[in-house]
This record gives sequence, C-alpha cells and structure tokens, in this order.
Amino acid sequence: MTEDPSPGQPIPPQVPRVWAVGGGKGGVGKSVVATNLGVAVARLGLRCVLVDADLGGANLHTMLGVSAKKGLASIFNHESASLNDILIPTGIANLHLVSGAQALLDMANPKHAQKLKLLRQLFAIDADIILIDLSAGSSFNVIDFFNAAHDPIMVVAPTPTSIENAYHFLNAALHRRFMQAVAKAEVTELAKKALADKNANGLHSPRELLRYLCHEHPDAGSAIGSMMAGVRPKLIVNQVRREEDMHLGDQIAYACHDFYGVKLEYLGGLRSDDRVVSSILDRKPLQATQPACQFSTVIEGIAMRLINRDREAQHG
Amino acid sequence: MDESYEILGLAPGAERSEVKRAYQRRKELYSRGSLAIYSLASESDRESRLEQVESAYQRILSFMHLHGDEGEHTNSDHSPSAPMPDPEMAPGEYLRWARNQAGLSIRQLADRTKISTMRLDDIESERIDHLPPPVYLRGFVYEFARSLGLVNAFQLSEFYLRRVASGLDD
Repeated sequence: MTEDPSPGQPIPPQVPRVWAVGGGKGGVGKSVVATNLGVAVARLGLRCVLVDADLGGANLHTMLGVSAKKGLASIFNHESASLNDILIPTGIANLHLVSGAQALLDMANPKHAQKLKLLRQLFAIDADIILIDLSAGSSFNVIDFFNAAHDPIMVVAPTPTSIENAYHFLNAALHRRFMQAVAKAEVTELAKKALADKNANGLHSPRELLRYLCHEHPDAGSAIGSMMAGVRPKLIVNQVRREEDMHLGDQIAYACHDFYGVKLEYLGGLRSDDRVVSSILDRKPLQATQPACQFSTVIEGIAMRLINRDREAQHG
Repeated sequence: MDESYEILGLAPGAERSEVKRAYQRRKELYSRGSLAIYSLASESDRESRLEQVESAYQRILSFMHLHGDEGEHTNSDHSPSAPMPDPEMAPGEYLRWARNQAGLSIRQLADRTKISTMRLDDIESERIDHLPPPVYLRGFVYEFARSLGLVNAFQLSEFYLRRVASGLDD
C-alpha cells in the first residue's frame, strides 16, 4: 500500500466525495441524519460541507443554530460566483454549511442549466466530504442530485408510508439512471418501443427491461448492465421503535436485490430517541453535544464506514 | 442450480451455513405482512416468491446431499479453544482470535466487510507500516470488529489506535 506514506497524517482525497441524503418521504429525519453525519465527519477530522438543497424547506441552519445570511439563492441570483464564497462556519471545527434558506419561491425548481452548474460547483468545493440534504419527493431535481452523488443515501422510517415512498423514489432514480444509460448506448428507440408495449413483454422493472435489451441487443445490454451494476445506494433506517425493525434495513436490501437487481447497502438503524427532538429544539446537533449517546455512536459508525468505502473506491 | 442460488441471493457454491441463513432471511422477507416488501409485491406475488424460495432451498439441499456435503462444520484453522489474547495489549491478535472463533476465513470476512483481504491481514498482523492513517484505520477496525458481532467494537478501535500511536513499542 504505497499510497500511505505515514500513518498519522490523513491524506486528503483529490476531489471531494459527495454524499446525498434523500428517500422520498418528508418527516423521516433526512435533515437530522444529514446534519449529524456532517458533524460526525468533521469530528473525525475531515473537512465537511453540508449543503441544504431543500430549497423549498431549508432548515439545516436552524438545526445547527446559525443564521443563514447567504445561501444557494445568491448563486442563482449571480450575487455570488462560487459556493466557496458562501460557506457559513457552523461553530464546529471542519464543518461549514451552504444554506438553502432565503430562496425565492421559484428557486425550488431550478432550470436544467442552473442545476448542472450547481452540480459542477458542488464537486469543486474545497473540502473532503460534501453532504447534500435533499428535499422530499421524487422530482428530477431531487433525483439528479441523488444519482450524481458518489454515495446516494436513502433514509426511511419503519412505516408502510415511508417504505412505499422510498421504493417509489428508488425506482424513479434507477429508471432515470437507466434511461440515461440507454441513451448513452444509443438504444433509446428500442427501449421506448419495449416500454410502449411493456405489458405484452412483461416488463415491469428496469431489471426486466435490461433482460429484454440484452436479448435484443447484447452489446448495448451489457454496456447498460455494467453501468447499472455500479449503482450502490445506501440505506439508513431512522426512528426505529420496535426491536424487530432493527432488521428491516437488511430485509429492504434483500428486497432490492430481488425486485430491482440492485445491491443496496444497509448502513444501520437509528432508534427513536427523545434527545434527538430536544437537540432540534436546542438547535444543537446531538452529535456535537452528546457524542457518546447511542444515536451519536451509530451515526459515527456510519460516517466511518462511508469514509472508508470512499477511500477504497478511490484507491482500489 | 445457479438459478436456485440466485433466488436466495447467493453466489453459486455458497456454503451450507450461508445457504441456511439466506433461506431463513428470504422466508422472513416473504412472510405475510412483511413491511420490507410493502407496495413491492401483491399478495399472490408474495406467495409465489415464497414458494420459489422454498423449492430453491430444497434443490440446493438435495444437490449438497448428492455431493456428500452433510453436516455443519467450521473451517477454522485454529483450535476454537485457543486462549483469548488481551484486546488492549494485542488488538490485532485479538481480532484474529475472534475471527477464528466465529469460524470465518479472511476471504469470508472480506466479503462481509468489503475490506480487502490484504488490509484485514495487515490489521490482524499489526503491520504498522502498511496501515492507513488513523482517521481511516479507526473505521476499518470498527468494521472488522462489528462484522464479527463484537460488542466492544468502538473500544477495540480505540485500543488499536493507541497501540499504533505507541509505535508497537515492544
């Protein structure tokens, strides 16, 4: 392992790694998880920037107890040229915030070009980890950020409503990624035709469509297949109240394998904890005030796993 | 036969203990009222998948029977009764001991943790020059310990870092 000249000095990755937290349903704790993950990363000694991409309902600044004078809005307004100019210190070493607050109403739906520009800028922030908190829902604006991230993370709660939305979200994300791969392999017409009479062909999922394409056009099929094999969504189950739901994440991973042919990685379960609610009222993340409590140690474990995955992915 | 393994989410040729575990997991996944497949599978879809799982498992079992793979056995290369090393003084050795207690090879643990076999071996052998910087090492040790089901995973990563910081001065 020649890339490690000396243990003791963390080696900054060449480019920031981007994590995106999404998952479809509102109220499952995406922002709480994102904020505390960010604090955990910073406490582990890596420079982290939290990005509040929930332009319609930004509140990471509130969870961190800072005021958001400048945010993503000033990028869209051309008041600020670079995300590096609008980083807000959080009072926690190594942790900065790009706020989504003060966005005008029409900014929740940025134009395609604006979105691409923002994505480019996100990958150019001077930090080790960029952690994007996405808004609820499965619109393209959310999904494109989710798909662009190195580590797309879904947060679900153990309720049928959350599970239902999470599968809808994942299906939408996979479908979008799939159609982009189809376009790249230049078999859009074939795929469209197959989907148009999908009932006749029995195509109900990207997995079945891929099987069909592999049969009809093996070269394109295998190109798309290998692009899709690289999709490794991650999962956190939040607000767990029943002990049996601590295994729900594993089961969702098996279900994703069986239904979507996707290797979803379950990162861990977070038990419902009143201290989390208090921490929001206090506007101080639990990870910063009580790093030794169970919620915080699980979050820290997840942060460590993701950091190491990224490292393996970069260095092979 | 490969298809039967695939239905249980396994690579062909998986070991008996893995097959059994995978079968139990899928049985749970496709049980009535399973939350994890809510909105994914209709009741009849659920039932037919459960049947598929059941027959895949039976096919694999009879395949194993034909090939003379009978009872359960561990592939530990160390005696299970080896004395426990001190986790504070020799965390690497302790991890190797715990892995052998669990009856897992380095390869199996690598599959489980997604950490390379070389890295796992470096950690067990405390090859300090080969280890990554502490910020990453902490996570590797934690992951290693956690995947073995050790409850002291956090403490162990602390022990390990302390040991590395002291430069293994012995």
